[in-house]
Amino acid sequence: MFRLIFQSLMNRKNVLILIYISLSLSVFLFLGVQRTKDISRNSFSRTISGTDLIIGARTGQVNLILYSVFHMGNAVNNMGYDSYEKLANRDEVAWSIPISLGDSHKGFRVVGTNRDYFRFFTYGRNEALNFEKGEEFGDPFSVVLGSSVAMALGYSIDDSIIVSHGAGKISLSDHDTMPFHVSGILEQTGTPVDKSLFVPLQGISAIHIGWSTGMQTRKVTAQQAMAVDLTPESITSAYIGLRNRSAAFRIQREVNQFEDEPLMAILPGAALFELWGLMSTMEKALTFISSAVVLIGMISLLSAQLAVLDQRRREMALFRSLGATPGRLFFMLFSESLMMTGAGCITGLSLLYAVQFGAAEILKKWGFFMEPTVPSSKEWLLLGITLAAGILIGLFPAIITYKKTLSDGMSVRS
Amino acid sequence: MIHLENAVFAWPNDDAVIRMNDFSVGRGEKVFLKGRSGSGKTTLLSLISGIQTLQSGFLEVRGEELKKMPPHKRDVFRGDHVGYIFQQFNLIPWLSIEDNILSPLLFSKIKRKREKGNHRERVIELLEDLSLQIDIRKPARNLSIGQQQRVAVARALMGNPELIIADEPTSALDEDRRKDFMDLLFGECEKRSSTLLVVSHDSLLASQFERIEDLNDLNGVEHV
Repeated sequence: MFRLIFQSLMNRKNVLILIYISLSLSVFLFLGVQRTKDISRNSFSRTISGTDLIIGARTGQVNLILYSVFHMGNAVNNMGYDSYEKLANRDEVAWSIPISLGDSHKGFRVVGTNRDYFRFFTYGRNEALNFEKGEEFGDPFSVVLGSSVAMALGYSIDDSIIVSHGAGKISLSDHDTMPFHVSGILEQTGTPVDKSLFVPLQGISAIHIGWSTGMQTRKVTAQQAMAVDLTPESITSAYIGLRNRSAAFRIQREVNQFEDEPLMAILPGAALFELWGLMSTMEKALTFISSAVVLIGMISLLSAQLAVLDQRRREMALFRSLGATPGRLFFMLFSESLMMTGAGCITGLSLLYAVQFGAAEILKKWGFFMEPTVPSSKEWLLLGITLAAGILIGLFPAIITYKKTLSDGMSVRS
Repeated sequence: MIHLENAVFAWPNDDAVIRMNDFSVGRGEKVFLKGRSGSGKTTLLSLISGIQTLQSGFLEVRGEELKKMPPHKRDVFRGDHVGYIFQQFNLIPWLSIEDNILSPLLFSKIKRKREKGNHRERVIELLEDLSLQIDIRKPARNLSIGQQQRVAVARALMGNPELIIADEPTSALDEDRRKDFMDLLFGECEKRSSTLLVVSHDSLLASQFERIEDLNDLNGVEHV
């Protein structure tokens, strides 16, 4: 019986192979989109953890998290370093990391900070940063590279780097009198850290001596700069870790009402949630498109089945004469669709894993972090829905055939 | 083998097409049933093979009243005891010749049991009987009409059913071959002492049948 079904399928293999491919691809796409969504949500939420508050000049919380954590866009304003110190020295604060943005190197953001960054910053499941090579800053002109930066630009320890003013890929002005030397390279994290360069705040201050409003007015050498007090006047934002997490709301309120200058504090979790919410429209659009693709695959299966139905009436009449019950013919056609959809689902899923394994390295470079896992219950559910849709669609030609064979009997009136 | 009494059949919302008071075919008998197209022959064959059932009256095949069987039993009954030859032969083009000939065994346990042993050898034997020399592994779509017709006979004979029914079996053939074909079919049924019922409008085919009936005479319904 199954051999018969199989041979019948093989007879129409050209069309069915195409449909099989389109079904597989649509299942692959459908699951792929869902998984990418889960993965991006996952890599998204793992960019920062353990930080209780982020403080910066007053702006929107999405904007603040975008530039301070994702290093996207620009700060509308800076906050005074004295304000930062005032807040950082509060009893409730366990640790703090100053962040100073505004410079770049070949398209990668340069982050001015201090050694506390490597000590306290955590991502994912409270994972700390580790050095793949070298160590943290030694002097004001040391630079620590994120793994993607080191990989993309081929830097190793002690290489010399010129930092450019501004965040663009093509820099208009370089801080070329004061090169930085690479002191360490971080391990891969799958977060924006990988695409950043870290320099001490003093280094940032030093290269900006003699600059005002984005223009270099006089040349200063590193030796001259070292003689000056390099304590920064301002920073862009700060990550704050509290001794007691429950104080977060109170501190947030106090920062928002800070008297010396207009500041704001955000809870990273809430901001990430809001940011993710902004992307949900795209997420929905993707889900819609990928489900539409599955639907198209199903419809092509249906149309192929219906197109040959008339040709197959003769076949069905023969099977009837050989003692096949209408139920059996129904079952035959139904199994065909089931086999096709089943094969499509299995291949689509395998394809997903093949791509996920094959492209894991590339995706990690893009900042997508994903571990190939067994299909989640949601994915099983989606597969189940796809299979059920395939079965439902397979019922159509089966029911039509069933009815036709009942009325045709053994004589095909054509 | 076949026994009809006061049989009446009508398609839904239609006048009766079959009204037969008394018609019987004995075991091993070879009967030629002559009828114009539209005289209800195909309907009659549907009734005898249990695809349709009578509205009233009595129809017995092989001693069993078909109307009393549940539908799926009738299907199995047909598969087990009837070999059917179609107007257009209805070979399955994508199956090999061998699989076409063996296809009756797919749906019938009894036919399977009767053909115990090497199925391939049986196929070769049958085709030798029908003096057909072809590669049985090839798909049936490559056969000529003459070859198709013999393969269709081989298929109907597979599993040795007691009743062979042929519905206009020569309509796809040219004049010269019709007689050869009928000889062949007749001869094979003779050899197996199976009952043969051939329905056709072409009375030229009837030459060697001991019993020739006209459906118009049997059927009480006037057909225009």
